[in-house]
This record gives sequence, C-alpha cells and structure tokens, in this order.
Amino acid sequence: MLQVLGRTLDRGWRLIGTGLSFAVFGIGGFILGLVAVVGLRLVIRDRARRAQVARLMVSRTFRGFVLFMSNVGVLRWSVEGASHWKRDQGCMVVANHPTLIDVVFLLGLFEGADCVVKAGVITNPFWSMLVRTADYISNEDLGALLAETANRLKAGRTVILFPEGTRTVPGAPLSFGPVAGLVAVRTGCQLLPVVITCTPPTLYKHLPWYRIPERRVDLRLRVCPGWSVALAEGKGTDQRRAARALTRDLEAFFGRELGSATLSDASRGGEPAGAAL
Amino acid sequence: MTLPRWRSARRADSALNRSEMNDELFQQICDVLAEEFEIPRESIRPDSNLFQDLGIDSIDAVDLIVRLRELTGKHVPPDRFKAVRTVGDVAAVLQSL
Repeated sequence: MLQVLGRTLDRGWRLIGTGLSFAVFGIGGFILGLVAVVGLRLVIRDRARRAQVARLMVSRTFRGFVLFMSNVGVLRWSVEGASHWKRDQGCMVVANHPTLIDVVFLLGLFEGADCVVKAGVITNPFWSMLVRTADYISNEDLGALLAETANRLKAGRTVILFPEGTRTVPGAPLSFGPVAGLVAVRTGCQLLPVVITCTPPTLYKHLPWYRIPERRVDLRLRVCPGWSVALAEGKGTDQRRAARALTRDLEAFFGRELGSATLSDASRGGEPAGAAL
Repeated sequence: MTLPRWRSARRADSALNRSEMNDELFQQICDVLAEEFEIPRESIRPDSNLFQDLGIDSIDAVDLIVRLRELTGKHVPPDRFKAVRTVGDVAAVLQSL
C-alpha cells in the first residue's frame, strides 16, 4: 500500500517536474533569444563574434538546464569519455537521437559548438532569435548545409549533427542520412561518435511529453574515441563511394554499440532520398 | 478491369505532356546524370525511376540536388525531393519552383 502510494507520488512529482522543465526550457530559450538579440547586438557589433558568444551562452545555460532537470528529479545522467574531444581541431560530433533532450546535453557538453538544426526550429518563434544569432546551420538548403558545415570544420570548429536527421523511432533499424558521410570525406575531419542511451525510453518521436516513464530516466552519453577520416580525393563518384562506406561503418558502429542487430544500409536503392540528413 | 487501365493510360499521357513541357529541364537533368553519375544516356527516360532504375541513392541525391541548383539556380527543398521518384518528377518539381 505504502509502496503504491510512494510510486504514485514519485510519478506525480516527475510529471510536474517534466512539465516544469518544458516550461523553463521554452521560456528560457525565449529570454535567452531576447538577451542574444537585443543585448548582444548592442554590445558586440561583429556578427561572427556575437554568434560565438551566443553559442557559449547556449552551452552554459543548457548545462544549467541539465542540472535543473536532475535536481528536480526527472532524470539521472552521466557522461563518459569527454576527454576524447579535441577542441579547435575541426571535429564532427555524430550521435544517435533517442530523445528530444539529447541536443541539450550535446550542446552543453561541447562548449561553443555549432549544430545542424531543422528548419522548423529556426522558424519557431521561441527559438528563432537565439538560433539565428548563434548562427547554427539550417538543414533546409542542402548545398548551403554541405558548404557551411565543411567551412566550419575547416576553420577548426566543432559541428554537432544527428545523422538520422530526426529522432530515432524505437525499435526501428538505425538509418543514417547522407550528409555526415559526405562532409566528412570531403573535409577529412575528425568524427566523434557519441552513443546516447536513454532508459526507459522517453520523449521519443511521436510521444507526448506528459506520457512519462514508470521510473526516473537514466540518460547516458558515451563519447567514443575519434575517427580520423581520410580526405577523399578524385571525382565525385569516388568521393561518394567513400562517403557510402563511411556511412555504413558508422551505422554498423552505432548498431553494435547500441546492441541492435538490425542494420539498414543508408545507400540502399529505393529509399526516399533526403529522408534523413 | 477497364477502369485501372484507363487510369494508368491517363497518367502516362499526363506524364508525357509534362515531359514535353519540361524538355529543356529534362535534358539538363540527363546531362547531370550522365556526366556526374556516369549513367548511360540511353537508359534515362522521363519515367525512369531514379532509385530503382538508375541506382541513385541518398548520397547521390544530395549531389544531384546541389548540381541542379548550380545549373538551374533552383533549389529543390528536401521535403519536395522526398516525393520524387522519376526523372520526370525532378523536371516537374524544378518547373514548379
């Protein structure tokens, strides 16, 4: 009896905590955007410098938000292997995307990093000011996405990208889009795989926020040793072949690390192209 | 049994009209496919399925979209490209932009 009551209370509290977290995140993002747009614009004239400061601001506040969530008690979290990140060496962080909040952890962890974001986030009124000021990369225009990501990597910056393009559908085979592989072989950058596990699964695709799991969420990020990707020389065909092989290797790696045996081939013919970036 | 046949005939007919309209675009797409992706020209028809008939995959598709942008100045949004199946579809999407 007492146990049941305890569980109900715990669940109720985590539901409130989850709602609170969403509210804080949304309002916080909006305020941060206002600060970034109004405050930073007044203080820093140079657009690139302003973006850099805005990105640092995002990382710091996202860290704070992670602490907020764990203090409220909605989740536990851990990070392993953070020392594998070589700052300023042009590194592409590739991660699987089990929940809505992965990006909060990644941006908090990789301080000042760039991030490829969905066009929908850039037009979202709550987030657009911040995302534009921080100059994150939009996935809307493919040509610009490839060029911008490559430029920033070459400049030594860190770019976070979810190769699945969208949150993982639980149980479905892992399928990586073409962009990570193409950019990596054309820049010869470092690839830093981050394996994210979330138990029990929560905030995955199509799950409303209030459907909270039975027990407290445990989110683990494992930063794996970086892969040095060889710069692909030659014609487009050769580069694409290298990108295909790399994408397959990445899928296999994440499949192994996540313990799922079902792999799909990103380069399988007939797959609707551009489905995942 | 006549109804489906009538429907498919009509669809083929409209595809033909479209391809006539987009003849120049179709030629440009053919050029890209032949030069960049080394696909034999004779195998490219308006109703060729890019993925099943011509072996284009998602990695090729990215470069295809980028090349077409360079050539035509028109950018196919990834969302629109998702619905694309045939070479004719590509021409139709480019035409509509």
